Order: sequence, then C-alpha cells, then structure tokens
Amino acid sequence: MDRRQWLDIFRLLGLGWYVVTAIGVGVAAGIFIDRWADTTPILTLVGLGLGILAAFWGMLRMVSPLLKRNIDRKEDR
Amino acid sequence: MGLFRRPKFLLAIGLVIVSLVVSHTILRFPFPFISIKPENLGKELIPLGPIGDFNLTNTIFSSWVAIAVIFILAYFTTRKLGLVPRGLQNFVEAVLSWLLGLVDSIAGPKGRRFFPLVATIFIFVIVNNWMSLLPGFATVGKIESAEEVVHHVIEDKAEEAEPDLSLTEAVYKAEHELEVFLEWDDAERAAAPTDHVGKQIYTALEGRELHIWDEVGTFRVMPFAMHEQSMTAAEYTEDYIDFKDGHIEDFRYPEGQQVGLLIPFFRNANTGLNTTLAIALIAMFFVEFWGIRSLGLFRYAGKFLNFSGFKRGITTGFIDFFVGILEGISEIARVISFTFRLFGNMFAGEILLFVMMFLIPLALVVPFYGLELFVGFIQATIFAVLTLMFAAIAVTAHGDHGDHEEHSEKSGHAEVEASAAEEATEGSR
Repeated sequence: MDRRQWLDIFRLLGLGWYVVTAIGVGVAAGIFIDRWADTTPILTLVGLGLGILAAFWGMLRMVSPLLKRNIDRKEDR
Repeated sequence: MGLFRRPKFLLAIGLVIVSLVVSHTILRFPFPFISIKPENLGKELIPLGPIGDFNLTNTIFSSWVAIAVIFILAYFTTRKLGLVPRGLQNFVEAVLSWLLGLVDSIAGPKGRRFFPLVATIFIFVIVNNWMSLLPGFATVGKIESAEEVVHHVIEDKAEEAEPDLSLTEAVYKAEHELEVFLEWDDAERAAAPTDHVGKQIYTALEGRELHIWDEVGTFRVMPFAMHEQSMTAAEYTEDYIDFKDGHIEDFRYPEGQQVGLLIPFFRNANTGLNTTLAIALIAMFFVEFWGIRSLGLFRYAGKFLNFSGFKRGITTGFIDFFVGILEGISEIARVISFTFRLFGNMFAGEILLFVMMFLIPLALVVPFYGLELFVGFIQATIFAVLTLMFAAIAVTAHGDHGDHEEHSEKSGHAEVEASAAEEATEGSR
C-alpha cells in the first residue's frame, strides 16, 4: 500500500467518533437550551435532528474527496 | 492432531501454564482502583484566587516528564549534527521526514505552515502514549489512607453542594450542619433525598474497594506489600471508623496493616480529559486562526453565517444558511470528538491492561502491550492527520469548495507523484 492509502485509512478511522459526538453535541445543546427556556422536549428533538444532519454533512465532507477519486478512477478505466 | 506433536507448541503451552500457576500463587496482581479523574498528587498547590486552585495531578506530572523527554531527545539530537545522519539524528530525521511527507501529501505545497503544529501534536501524544507502557507507570506511588479517601470524597461533595464557600468552610458545613451521618441505617439512608451530602458521600464510598497493605511506609510499588484480599469502603466504615454523636471521631486500622488506595505518580497524560481537551482546543484554535488569516474574517465567518444564497432566491438562501449552521455544529463536534477519541482510546487501553494483568498476569499481558503500542501510534497519527485535514479544509474558500477541494486533491496527488518520481530518481543515482 502506498502512503496515500494509509492516509485514507487514518482519515476513515477518525470518522466514527466524529459521528457520535456530532449527534451528542446536538442533543446536549438541545437539552441545555430546553432546560433554560423551559420548552422540553421540542428543542431536544430539534438538536437531535441538527446533530444527525451535521454528522452526516461532516462525514460527507470528510469522505467526498475519496469518493471523487474512486469515481475518477472508474472513469479512467 | 499434528499440532500437539510439535515440541514448540507444547513448550509454549507449558510456559503459559507455568506462568499462570506462578502468577496466581506468587505474583498475584490485585484489581486496582480505577478512577476517571486523574489522581491528585498535591491538592491546591498554588492558590490562583478567582480562577480556582492549581492541583498537581499525576497526568500533569507525567506530561511534564514527557516534555522533558522530548527536550532531552531534541538536545542530544541537535548537539552534533552531521550532513550524513547517524544514530539518534538518523532516527529523528526519519520520523520528521515521514511527518513532512504526510503534511505534503494531504495539504500540498502550501501546507508546510501546518507542519510545526501537526508534528508537535503527533510527537507529544505518541511520547505520552508510549511512555505509559513503561514499568513504573500506574504502579509506583504513595498510599492514600482510608481516612484521606473519606476526607477527599467529603471535600468533593462539599464543594459541589456549597460552591460559594471556601473549601474549609464547605467541608465544615457538610460535616456539621448538613449532617454527614456515616452511621445511618439502611432505612434512613434510603429515605434521605438524593442531593443530601451525607447520602452522596455514602453512595460515593459504597462502590469503592480499599486495598490492604503492610505497614512499611508511604511509597509503594503496586503488587508488593499488598494483601490479596481487599475491603469495601462500607465494610471499613462499619468496622474501623469510630463515631460520636453522628460525626466521625476516629479512623482505626487493622493491626500492622494499612488500608487505602495507591495514588500512582505517573499516569498517561492522555487518560485525563483535561490534557486531551487542551490539545484539541489548541488544534482547533489554530485551524480557525489559519482559516481567518487566509480567507479574511468576514469571508471565514460567511462559512458559518451564510446569507449570500438569498441573492439567488429564498429556497437556495435557506439551504445555504442551514448548511452554514451545520458547519458550525460540526466545528464544535470536532473539538469534542478530538477530546473523547484520544481520551477514550487511551483510557480503555489502560483499563484493558489492568484487567488482563488481574486475570492472567505474565502470560497474556504481553500481546495486549503490543496492541497498546499500536493503538498509541494510531491515535497519535489520527489526531495529527485530522488536524491537518481540518486545517486544509478551513483555508479553502467556501463558495467553490467542491472544485477547490478537487483541485487541491489533484495537485496534492500530483505532488505525491512528483515526490515519488524524485525518490525513484534519487534511488537510481
């Protein structure tokens, strides 16, 4: 394996924790604001949704260069 | 079974059995007390007034040792620099050129400015991780007697209950006015409200196992001078604490023995959340700083508060704005995922080693040490690579990031190929 593939591996190894924490941050922020503004459970759910979207969005941004490269490679063949 | 006829295989099995027997009879390793919080070596060493007090924890102490190791290594490497690297210089140059190649292949030729931070993070994290596998880490320390354990629990809980008071006042109040009855019966304890300090202390103490040691001094090495059985804090409270009027009067100890926990002097700095959070904050601070410096404050802030899409219509505007919010959330999530990824992996590794040491000492710990060596390297690399990647993303403009990324991707690729070609020509020379 060349260096580039190793780098891709490290990139992908970091993904799992990122997804978990993005969702966690969304929910925690939701719960916190809910307690402060007394609107339980609306903002918790909104935070959950935002967290999931942010997780997915961030994951896509981290992975998209790799996907793009794969697509390029397929087209080259 | 042909496998059982091979002498080497039989020898290996024999060795495992012998070490199992030895480890369960002579070298028995007790299950150590595991605390997520780094242990305090000196509480409130330097009072800092309104900020709080400086506590010297064993993780801070170990990170100082790691820094000293890095300094010494750097000093001896750079003292006699030769054009043809030899010995230590050769090793350090190999590591640094590997890191430099990493930076070049992710961030391209412009990424050299990220190199100092990325290399610093990598070296600091990996030195800490690998140092913690040396003997002496988590096993050499001083003994915190049962009295001190109880006292520290009371201190912590009192601080939580009365944050406005000074520590001494809070402890006094917890012990006298808030009625810390440690000789409650079960019914009273169950009836007390959950935020009652006495009940909190009770529950905090209940899960704890105190170890029993020979009475030979304060400084100890883990498995030695240690008795096989331990005592739960509840048992200790029942048998060895004297009460008078519901307050603690005296702590007694069994004849010729000490009851307490070992506070190790060294503990992997990355098993404390404070260290990992600090590294993550520094990394993200620099990522934001580089982003602002290369794009300008307003263009960089436009990544997160994006109103430019409204020019092209309301729907596009809302989508772009929403994407900006998502960027903001993911930026915060990055700090936390950095923190918990490193902390979780290193802390889990430490516990894995403890548990293996307890279950099958000598025989099966070695492979897990190998695993931890690997995990320590992987985590340091992940931290460095992700910092680099985020920095590379932060300095690219938002509007056309797709094209930009592809461009930098391609140029990065070309760069790698160019350097590979260079290496090839150098090799042929």
